[in-house]
Amino acid sequence: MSEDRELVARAQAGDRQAFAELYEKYLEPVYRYVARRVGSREEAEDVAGEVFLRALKSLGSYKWQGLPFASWLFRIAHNLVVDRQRQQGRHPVVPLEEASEREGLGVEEQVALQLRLAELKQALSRLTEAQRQAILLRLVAGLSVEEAARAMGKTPGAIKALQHSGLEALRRHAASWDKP
Amino acid sequence: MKKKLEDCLNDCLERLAAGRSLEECLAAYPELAGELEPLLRQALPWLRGPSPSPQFRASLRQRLLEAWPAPRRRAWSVRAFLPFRRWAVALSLMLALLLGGVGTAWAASSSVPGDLLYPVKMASEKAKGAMTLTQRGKANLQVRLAGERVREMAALAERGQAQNLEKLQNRLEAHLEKVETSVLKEDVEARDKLRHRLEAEAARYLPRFQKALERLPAARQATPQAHWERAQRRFQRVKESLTDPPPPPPGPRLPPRWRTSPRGGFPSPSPTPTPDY
Repeated sequence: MSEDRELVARAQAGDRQAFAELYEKYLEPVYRYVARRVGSREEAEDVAGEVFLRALKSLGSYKWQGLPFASWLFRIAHNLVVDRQRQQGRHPVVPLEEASEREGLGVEEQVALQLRLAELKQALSRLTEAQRQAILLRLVAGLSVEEAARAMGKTPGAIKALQHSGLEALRRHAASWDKP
Repeated sequence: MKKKLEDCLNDCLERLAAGRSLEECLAAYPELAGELEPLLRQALPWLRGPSPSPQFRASLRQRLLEAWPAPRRRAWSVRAFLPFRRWAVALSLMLALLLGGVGTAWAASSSVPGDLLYPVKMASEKAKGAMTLTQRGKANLQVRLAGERVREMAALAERGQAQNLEKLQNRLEAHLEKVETSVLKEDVEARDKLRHRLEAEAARYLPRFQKALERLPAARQATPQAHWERAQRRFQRVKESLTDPPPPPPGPRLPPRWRTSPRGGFPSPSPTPTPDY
């Protein structure tokens, strides 16, 4: 956390390398977070790119007080995803076409993976917005409980409760999926 | 009990994210294993998410580098006071008038784009231009302002701020354009004095700009370096335009359309002759 703080201060003072380090650190979690919420790899790349461009544009006005950089970045990502979904008039989805997840798999395994991803997509849409956010920030983006709590404006205890209830909802949905 | 389950679940999720196996996690909480296992199995597919492609990673990095520099935080910047900018300028002008203009004008004279007092400096330069009546005075003022723009570019380069360099470059070129097209070129003595002034301004500020460049990290030199080279070329061009052209070489005179330009560039074609009807 203090490392981020130092990198942000250096980037704000004009150090391009410091911003490059923040980019390398957060590109993957931001991309994963976005990719699980939009419809395709292209959209995920569009939104993730926009997140970092906006972050760069607003870096001068960012202040550390009470909001760590990661939380600030995920708020930008969340707002962009919500805006895009509002424009397109559709609900959150999970992308199905992930080449990296299919590499090295046989045809049967690929079909099974497709089914599993379709199941995840459907399951995610059954969660409440808060549960979905907590699952995505904690499990997909890899934020700590404290970081996710700050990003969502909740307490760490609330995040633990949300990830528990979210996983419980996913389990119930999986059980109904397995029934003939 | 529920609270404990949430804490244990959270602990197991962190272990899984760190690469531990499901069995290891469950072994840590044998009394809750029955409840934890189905929840952790739901979490597993989420822990392995899609990754950005190397192509996307590289292209976004490039876009960010092109979008650099980020707006920097400044304790005293026009941007920070944007809603109050007009008021600030009006207040500064009033203060300048009330206090005889000396203090504020002096403070504004060393300001650069982005500083609070820079608009005061711009207003003051415009006022000086309006109050200068002779052609000689106007040309001298443009030379001095050209030097001032280079000084500001050097100051911005020293601060590592490249975002206003293009604007200053354009202003510099506008000043030099006015010098180049000055009617003083017709008066040999006045033209020579103007050239000496121009050389003095260039000799005073261009080396300072260059020194500022040398102190920058190599990765941040490209943009200011390009501006320095452009500024140097423009000064040189105007200086040449204020210098006597070399005497024409002996030999037969070429038709006008094949004469070389006085700056030694490509021959400039003469206008297409209009046919006689």
